Amino acid sequence: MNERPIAYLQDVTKVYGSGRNTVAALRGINLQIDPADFLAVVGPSGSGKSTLLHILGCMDIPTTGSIEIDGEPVPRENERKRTQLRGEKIGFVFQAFHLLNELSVRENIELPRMFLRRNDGKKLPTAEELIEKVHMPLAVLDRRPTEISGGERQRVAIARALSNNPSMLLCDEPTGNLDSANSTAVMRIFDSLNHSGATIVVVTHNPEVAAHAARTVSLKDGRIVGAVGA
Amino acid sequence: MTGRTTLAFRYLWRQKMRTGFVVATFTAAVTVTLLLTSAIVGTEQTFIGEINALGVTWIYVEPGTSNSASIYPLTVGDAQAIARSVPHLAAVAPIMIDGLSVDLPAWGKSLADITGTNASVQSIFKYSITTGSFALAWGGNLSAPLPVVAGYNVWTTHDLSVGQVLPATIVSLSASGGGGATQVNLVVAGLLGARGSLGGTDLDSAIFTPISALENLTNSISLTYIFVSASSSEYVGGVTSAITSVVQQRHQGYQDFTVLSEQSWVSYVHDQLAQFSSIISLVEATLLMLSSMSVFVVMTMAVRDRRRVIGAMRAIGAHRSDIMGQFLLEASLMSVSGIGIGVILGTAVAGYLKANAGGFYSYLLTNPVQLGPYFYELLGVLWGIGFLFSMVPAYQASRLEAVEALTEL
Repeated sequence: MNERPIAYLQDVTKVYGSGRNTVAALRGINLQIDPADFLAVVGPSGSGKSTLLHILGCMDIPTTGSIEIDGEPVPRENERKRTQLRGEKIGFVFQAFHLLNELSVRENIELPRMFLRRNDGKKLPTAEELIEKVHMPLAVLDRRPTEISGGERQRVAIARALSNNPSMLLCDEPTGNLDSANSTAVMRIFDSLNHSGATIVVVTHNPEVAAHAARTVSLKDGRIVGAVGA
Repeated sequence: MTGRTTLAFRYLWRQKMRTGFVVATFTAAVTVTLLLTSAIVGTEQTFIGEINALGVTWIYVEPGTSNSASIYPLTVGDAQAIARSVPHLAAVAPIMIDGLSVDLPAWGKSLADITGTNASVQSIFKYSITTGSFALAWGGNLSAPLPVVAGYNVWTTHDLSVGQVLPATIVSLSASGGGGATQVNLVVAGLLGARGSLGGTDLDSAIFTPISALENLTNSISLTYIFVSASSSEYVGGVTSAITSVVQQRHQGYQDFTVLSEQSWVSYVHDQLAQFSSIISLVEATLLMLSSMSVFVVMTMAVRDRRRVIGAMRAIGAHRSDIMGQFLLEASLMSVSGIGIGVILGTAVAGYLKANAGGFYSYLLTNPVQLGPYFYELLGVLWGIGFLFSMVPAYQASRLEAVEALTEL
């Protein structure tokens, strides 16, 4: 199979601050993420994991280097285009879930579609299909995030991330706020999604979570210092 | 699909106190502005309408000027001199409204404001006669029955009929009258048709009696005013000048009186109401400022409280315009709600006051659409203010970067 990569980073650096007060968060990152990859990005605090995730998710731009998402170059100056790419190609799962408590589970899941500008005719999954994908009963669709457990909230957040049929799921410490039982359940969902073709990138410092990934990239001081897996 | 409006309503509902505050300020602004404006416009329309209803040939003379009191009283002699010397006149009616308490046991109540005048008042005020005549002849003897002509409200309320004799005790309340009481018999000479009001005075509650009798009863010769009617509108200017000349000559050269034609009255009403309009504009400006500050403060607080939500929305694909639009929508919903409630409340209060309070309140317009373009301008300005003053916080929200919003402590 000769598929184009979902994400391609070339010589990416990210420097914060200016003058003498600069901090290099990423130094010369080269990374390719292929379709159906399950990649864990690990490393100690301050190693650049979150910065890498933000750049992959078009939420931040590299200081130097280039990045392509699903074959489309991420423009440095065009914030609108980056937002569009993020909305169409990326699904985010956060440690703190970031669901909107004012909306029902169904409305939360459908929220990303409110921001879609392009309609290329692709059929998007229904809230019912998505909630089943994350192994939850349909009855939960009418409840509010405040009425369900933390584990359930994270599953709803995963369903929301899948709402626009993204090319890649980016997960920032997705089990960081969960107990072990819920962590296991959430990781099983990621496994299941990956087996059905989803591309997943998980940033974590939890080895048990990283163990679910087919490939692991270790970061230290903004550099890739190790890579394990295919 | 989740609607932006649904989301806006949920956030507004969650912050009920803040939402209520903004809605309340807009409601207050619209209610107060509507009431004040409907009072001004209603008064203007009513006054001008009533003045116009008298035609364009009448001229009004009153003692004193806008700057000073009269030196010489306006008298029946002045009215007679006008009638004698001024050409192109249709009628001259001296009017004396002195403070008289008229105790009428037969009617079971006391009345005030008996008006002394002559029969010319009928044509000038355009009264119609239902029964009898506007005959106000009096022989000068208070022991003989004193003829009165009763306004519509008076005779319908007390079930009067022409020729009816009513024993009365008349007490002069004025200083010149000395507070003495006089027993007289009133005889009903005529009953008037409904006429309405003029300049806030209910013409249907008037009781007319010969002016000479009133001079006798009050021991006063000071007229309240003189109404004159020119024979044609083309003579109004000349008659006005001639009246001024005649009365000034009788007052030893002093122009200690005011002569107003219909046109002068209309200008006078406009000028007086324009002064009120300035005060109202100040009140409106204050209310508009409060409304704009309320929406600005509340939307700024909303942006501060929802930074993480904004970050999450940006992360899942919300454009800057989506975020800005969301906050502008919320601000608009608050301002439009406040405006809507204000229109309903202002209309209801105006209707209630008009129906129950009487007096000045009877001039209130109860349909805001009657305010014409001003009403729509008011709505537009208020909505615009709500929109404009939420622009800054909405813009700030839209500039918030997802990373910045999500990673802050």
